[in-house]
Amino acid sequence: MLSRAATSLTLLGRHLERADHLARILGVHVALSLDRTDEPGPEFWIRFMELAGWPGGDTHDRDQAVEVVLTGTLGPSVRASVGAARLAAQAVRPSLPTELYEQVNALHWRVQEATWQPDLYPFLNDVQLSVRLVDGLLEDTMRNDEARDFVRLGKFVERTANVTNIVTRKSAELADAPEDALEWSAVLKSCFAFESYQSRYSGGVTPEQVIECLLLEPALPRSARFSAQVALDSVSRIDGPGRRSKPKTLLARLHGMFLDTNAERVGDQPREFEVECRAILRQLELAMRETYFHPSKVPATVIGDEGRAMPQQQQQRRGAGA
Amino acid sequence: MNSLDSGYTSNGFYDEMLAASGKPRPAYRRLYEQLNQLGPGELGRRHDLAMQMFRNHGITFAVYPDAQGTEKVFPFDIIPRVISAETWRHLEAGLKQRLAALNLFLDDIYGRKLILHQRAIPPEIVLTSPQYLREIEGLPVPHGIHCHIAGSDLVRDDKGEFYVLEDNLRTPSGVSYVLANRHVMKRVFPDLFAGYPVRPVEGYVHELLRHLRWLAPESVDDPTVVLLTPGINNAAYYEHLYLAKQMGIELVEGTDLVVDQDHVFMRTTRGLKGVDVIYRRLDDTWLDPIFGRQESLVGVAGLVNAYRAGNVAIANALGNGVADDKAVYALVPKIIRYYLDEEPILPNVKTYLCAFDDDRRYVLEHLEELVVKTVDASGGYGMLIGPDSTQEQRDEFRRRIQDRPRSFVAQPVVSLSVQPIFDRGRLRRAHQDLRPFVLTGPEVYVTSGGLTRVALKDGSLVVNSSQGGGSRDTWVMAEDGAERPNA
Repeated sequence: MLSRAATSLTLLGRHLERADHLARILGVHVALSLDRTDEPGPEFWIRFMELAGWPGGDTHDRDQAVEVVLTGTLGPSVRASVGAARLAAQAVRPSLPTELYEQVNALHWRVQEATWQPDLYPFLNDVQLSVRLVDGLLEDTMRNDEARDFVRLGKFVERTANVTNIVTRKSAELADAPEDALEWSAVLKSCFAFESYQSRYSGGVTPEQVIECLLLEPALPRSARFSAQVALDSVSRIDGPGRRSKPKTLLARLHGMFLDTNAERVGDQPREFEVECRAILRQLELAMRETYFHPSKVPATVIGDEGRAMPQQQQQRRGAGA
Repeated sequence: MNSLDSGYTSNGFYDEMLAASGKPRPAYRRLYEQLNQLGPGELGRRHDLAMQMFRNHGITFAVYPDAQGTEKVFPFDIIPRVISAETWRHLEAGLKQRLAALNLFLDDIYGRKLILHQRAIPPEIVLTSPQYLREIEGLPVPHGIHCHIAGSDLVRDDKGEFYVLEDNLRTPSGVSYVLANRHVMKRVFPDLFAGYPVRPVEGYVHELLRHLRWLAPESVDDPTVVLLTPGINNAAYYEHLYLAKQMGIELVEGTDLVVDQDHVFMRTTRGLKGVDVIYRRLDDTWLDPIFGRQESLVGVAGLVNAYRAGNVAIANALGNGVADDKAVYALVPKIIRYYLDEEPILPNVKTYLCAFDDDRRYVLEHLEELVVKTVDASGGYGMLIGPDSTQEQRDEFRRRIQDRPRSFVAQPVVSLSVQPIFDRGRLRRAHQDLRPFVLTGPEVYVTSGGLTRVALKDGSLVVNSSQGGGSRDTWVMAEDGAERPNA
């Protein structure tokens, strides 16, 4: 497979996962803000924006948060993520089933044109279900080959990072107090794991069990451990038998972090766990670039690195492919 | 009940569908009835459905003057163009003749130059063409064929006669829209097809791949073919990816390829992989920064040397631009007579070469009546349409022609034929042309029909998508008189 195609397939998986994640945490937090007897203050929305990847901003209320997370251009937003996924899909369209591309493309146009007031929830629901549909097409129509593994790699690395981020942040912020149970439930819902949690654990929502469920559960597709395992499996298939690439080594280390710990330890030192995890993910990004994507002008990073612009004018030349 | 064409007038132009209001030509009779049965409301609904399909499918194009790269759905009209079997046989024969002669011409001028030595055409017109590449003189090309994929633009005049308006022998675009238009029409208007023996268009992609594989160096049994695109920002990117996907070949950009020891490789996740045939959609000057423009970021350094060494085939061959130079176009009838000893089946539009004193004088005296074209421009750019021009524009072109006469030709305004388009519930007159695609290789293959481009702006003669043009499906009949009136 072309290195450039591998890059774009990985970005496709990553951006779709990010769009889904942003839509989900936004919906959950808007609902959470309405569930409270008092209107949450700026602190609530500042923390939410940090969780959504917008640290240090001046977003202090619900309407601002909705606007920025849906349409912002200076950081991760639903619109930007879907747009980037579509751009990546365009670049590798020959490698994708037609229906899959069309779903991504149609979602892009809907997100571009959507108005979400007063219908925020149908809009967020549409984004999430569309991503599920793409997931289904990926699993059900795409050949079990390198292309599919690169999409999965991008998607599950992103999910590992997102789940770890939300769980460790909330662990640091919240206490094991009854008044925080609502927020812990919101964490589960943000990870699409509330119902799985309820069917697996008894005794209500407790921080320790939420951490175990979302970080350490081996059979829950939304858990960090499961996601790291899928990413590792994808890289193992990409590498083929007998090859131990740097991404594979790093993913094995990442997966090992979830095997070698327990909920109590993470709950005690959430920041340390998050920092270690983030360091591995950073190394993994570089390793993927060096191993699979290099040399390539397409960056293996998410929104903000728009390195494709360089040859744009030449690509547009009328003489070039009129 | 009013018919759809109430109030419609062709205004003296040759109307391909309607001989007069309410009187469709024989080939359109069944179609006309069906459209009227469906009525404006249903046609509007299906038009919207078709546009939605185009957009979801990603059949869009970028508009260059907009720096932001505005993306638009390629405009589409739901009324197909119908071409009778007899007319098509005539066009097909004319196109095959034309391409045969142009291939012989290219092989000659980059080889022995007999046509120039014998002064069958003015050598200075050929040798001063900006598209003539001295660097490839004497370079053999696989099977002696230079133009593997061509698209010639045909127009009909006020009497319904077909003319060749120009040839595109470098990187002609549009074939994907032919296939996409048919794809959408079959889904949105299956009932319209029921009455017509329409020739299919889907065979093109299979034939293209077969022709490309045929070009591979002889030592290669199972060639690796790639399509080289300038990239995602190119207006024709949709076409590039569509063709690559349909052929099952890699769509590569310049940075995906590398040349080592005069062999071309693509960079893959498992290292370098050899490439044998490149269907390039970049012009010569951008193809290789060593050979052409040094600043090219979309080309591949060393590619032309690999081509010279015979280690990779490139389609179309380098240097073809000289044969679609608009000044050389004027000489094509002579070229056909010279190489084939035949009269051209398809005539040219009368063309004045500003390089010739008499022609130039005439052009400068009649700017208001003529269409002036820059010889190496395309996409409807670099043109002056005399009757629609301002004094300021004419003065500007007059200055340019006097400064660089070789760079301009002029033609009388062709009264392009019209056909109704469906526009907001009614029929409106619009001019159109036709771009059939011709593959030359183990056999000569002509697409059934081609791309009918429509000037959608009211009164406009410019059919290019970059300037408000759109397209419609083109139906070539397998046999005449076979329409099933009650189907």
